[in-house]
Amino acid sequence: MDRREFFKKSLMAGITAGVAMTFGDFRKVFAGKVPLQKAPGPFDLVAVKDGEPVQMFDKAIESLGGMKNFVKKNQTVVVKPNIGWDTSPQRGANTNPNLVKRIIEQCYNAGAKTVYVFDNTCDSWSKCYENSGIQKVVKDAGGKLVPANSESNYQEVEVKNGKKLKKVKIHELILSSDVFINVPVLKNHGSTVITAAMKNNMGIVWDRGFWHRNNLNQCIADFAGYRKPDLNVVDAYRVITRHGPRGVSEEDVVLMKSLLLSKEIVAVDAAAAKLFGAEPANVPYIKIAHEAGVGTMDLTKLSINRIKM
Amino acid sequence: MQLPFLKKIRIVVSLIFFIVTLFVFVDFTGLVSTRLIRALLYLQFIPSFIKFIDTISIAAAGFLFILILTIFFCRVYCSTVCPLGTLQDIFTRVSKKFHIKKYIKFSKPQNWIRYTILGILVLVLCFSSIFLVNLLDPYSLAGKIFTNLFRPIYYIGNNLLSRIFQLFDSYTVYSVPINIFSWPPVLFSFSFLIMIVLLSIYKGRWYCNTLCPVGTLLGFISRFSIFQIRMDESPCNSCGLCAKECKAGCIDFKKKKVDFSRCVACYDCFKACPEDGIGYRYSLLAKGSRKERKEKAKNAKALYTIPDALRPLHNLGALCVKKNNSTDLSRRNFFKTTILGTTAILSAKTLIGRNKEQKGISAIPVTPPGSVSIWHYTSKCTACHLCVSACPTRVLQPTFLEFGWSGIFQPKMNYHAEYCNFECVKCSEVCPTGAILPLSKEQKSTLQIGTSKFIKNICIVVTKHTTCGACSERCPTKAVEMIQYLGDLMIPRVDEKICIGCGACEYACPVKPDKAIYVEANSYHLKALKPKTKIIDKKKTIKPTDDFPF
Repeated sequence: MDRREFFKKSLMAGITAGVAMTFGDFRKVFAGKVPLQKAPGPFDLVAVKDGEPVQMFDKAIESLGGMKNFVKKNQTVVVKPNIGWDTSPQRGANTNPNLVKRIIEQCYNAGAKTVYVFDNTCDSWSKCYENSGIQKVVKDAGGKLVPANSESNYQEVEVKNGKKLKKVKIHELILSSDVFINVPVLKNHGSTVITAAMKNNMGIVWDRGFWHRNNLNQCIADFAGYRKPDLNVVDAYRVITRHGPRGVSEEDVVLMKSLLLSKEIVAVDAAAAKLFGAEPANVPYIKIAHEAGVGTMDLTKLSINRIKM
Repeated sequence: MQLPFLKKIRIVVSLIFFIVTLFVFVDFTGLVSTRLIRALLYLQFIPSFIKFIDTISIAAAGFLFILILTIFFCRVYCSTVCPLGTLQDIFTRVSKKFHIKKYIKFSKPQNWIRYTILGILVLVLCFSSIFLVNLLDPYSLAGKIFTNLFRPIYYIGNNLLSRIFQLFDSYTVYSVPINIFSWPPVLFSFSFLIMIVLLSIYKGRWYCNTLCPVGTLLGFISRFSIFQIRMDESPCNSCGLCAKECKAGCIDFKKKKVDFSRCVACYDCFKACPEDGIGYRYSLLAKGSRKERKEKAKNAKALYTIPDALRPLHNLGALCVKKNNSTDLSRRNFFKTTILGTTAILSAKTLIGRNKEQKGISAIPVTPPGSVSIWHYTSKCTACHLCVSACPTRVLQPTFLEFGWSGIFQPKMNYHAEYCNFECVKCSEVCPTGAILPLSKEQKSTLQIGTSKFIKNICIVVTKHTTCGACSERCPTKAVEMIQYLGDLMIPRVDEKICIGCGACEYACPVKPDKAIYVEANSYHLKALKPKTKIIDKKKTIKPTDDFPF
């Protein structure tokens, strides 16, 4: 990994006028401690309703000043959708492929060097990638779909403020890339009430069993404090309302046609919970993260841009 | 009539069969279509024979084709279709290249061993058991070597390549996990490979002509083939060049005799002969045919004297055949009772042998969807491990003695390795013996191969009072559902009626060392109810609001 990273970094430095860049990378590695960039524009959160995923995303990102505020020229980007299940897009178990495609396109438009897409899937990864429709759109948009099924691609990191989660193996691309865009899909979850942004992070770690064994909600909140995505895009177009997170049939799905966008992972989950008809305080991991100061679930304290298409 | 091109054809055909078969066994990308796999394995003698007993259809008549071919041209199967035969030829060839052993001397046939083994196998098959078949069938042995040895090596090479590609930021070659859950199949394959390497170097086709049941049967038929490879009285001058080339050691050049029963029809001798003194000859017109016939009669007599020692066994076999010829129903009943009898003893043994403290382990191993019942499966599977290679999730893993001695090395659904993909029916498509019968995805979605059992007292929700739900999360039918336990804390509950036994819950359960949820095998596969899709309580469903709820 060191060699690989070195290779990548030096290459990047050679191509770009890299002084500022290299510094930026260096900061990203310790991102947990470094305060995030100031949000562009006045909005902390953008919520869009009643549109198609692509149009809703375009509107939302525009109101945050466009993708160029998140992705700089020649940066490497990780787009992390939920591709956990071997199901069709209609079943709503995975992130909407059209949305993923649009995000990748926007990243490239902003000047991204490479956009990586991966998920440590639950079902067999190659089937998930294919049947979710994401393999095709990533290829079409020119992104790089990366298999995340090998432990050798994961590196152990320390979670400094973690209560239960002290050490965790995370995918090397999260460490080596400049920008991390979290693109979960909002769904019901049998044991954590809902799954959205914070829980989607389980797809960048190797050993999820440890989380399940050691207070799942606490681990989710611990990890949210370790590495905050640079942008969270919550897909709430098709929402699984029961039998989550996999769903059994299309009858579990409600067409909600919504989308949430924010840099703040706790806030975006709180808004997602509200969309789902749940109080954020009743979703244990949101509450724990809020109390630990990872972010806020109090939406009244945020400036929200509400867009109806 | 010298036909030197026959050797070339034989080499090309055998290499095509060998390379494609090998690739099918090591490939993990599913590149070879199931239709091609089926066509390729259609001619494999024992798998086809076993499938034919049950189905009696053209689709499984590959072995009949081989029989007809043998009646005409001797043991062509052994030098073309059989992957183990070609594997041995490769070793023999390499050893000759490096002058380890220059030639294989003519030796006497080990008829006693050959026909005893064949007799026992036929008898065993009459009793619908697979014992020894899965240890001696050449195709299945090659399959075990390919799956348990060559496949991991191929994976290691692939994974190294994938690391190299990653250095250049390319992910087109992806790594594949190499997890070995049971070592005995690997050790067996390894020791067998060593044995076959040494034998093929020093004794040529000794395995094929001594232990292999297919070799013995086809060799026996070859004695009466219409075209046989014979030496002529003239122009043969007993120079011995043909015998020097013969890898079966079946040419007695001093007597100008070829042992048809051991000749594997490789045609190496055709090319070696400078005089056109050896080749395919029409057996009835062969020179000195009267003498030959006498010899044949003597041979045949010798043959019939051998089973004398096995007379009681032979009688049993005859009894079996008699039963076969009566009505279909009685045949079935007979088979069923014998199978039930033998396996009941075996399963009883496993049950008794089961440690009471061993929680979370099915009493009998879970068999793959399409295998009908443990009895059907264990009496048909020759443990070629093709399903193990083909399974995209690698849930199918070889076992050692979990199916008893007669089912040695047969694969099972190992839910500690992975779980069965809901939409996949690959194993049922590739199985050449009919141990796993073809299934549609629709049929599979409600086929219950086992049911989940929840061991509440070791579940994390009970022991730690924290939420988990790993089992329910992955359940494709939601047979494992989270229900209220204490306050907001949720706990799994299993609805066995809709459970299909895919093992997703067992695989995902993070409890160590024993899992808190596991699949108990159905000895007979059953039909599960369709998962609930109708919305029962409309009030509880979430409706999208007109305005933002925040």
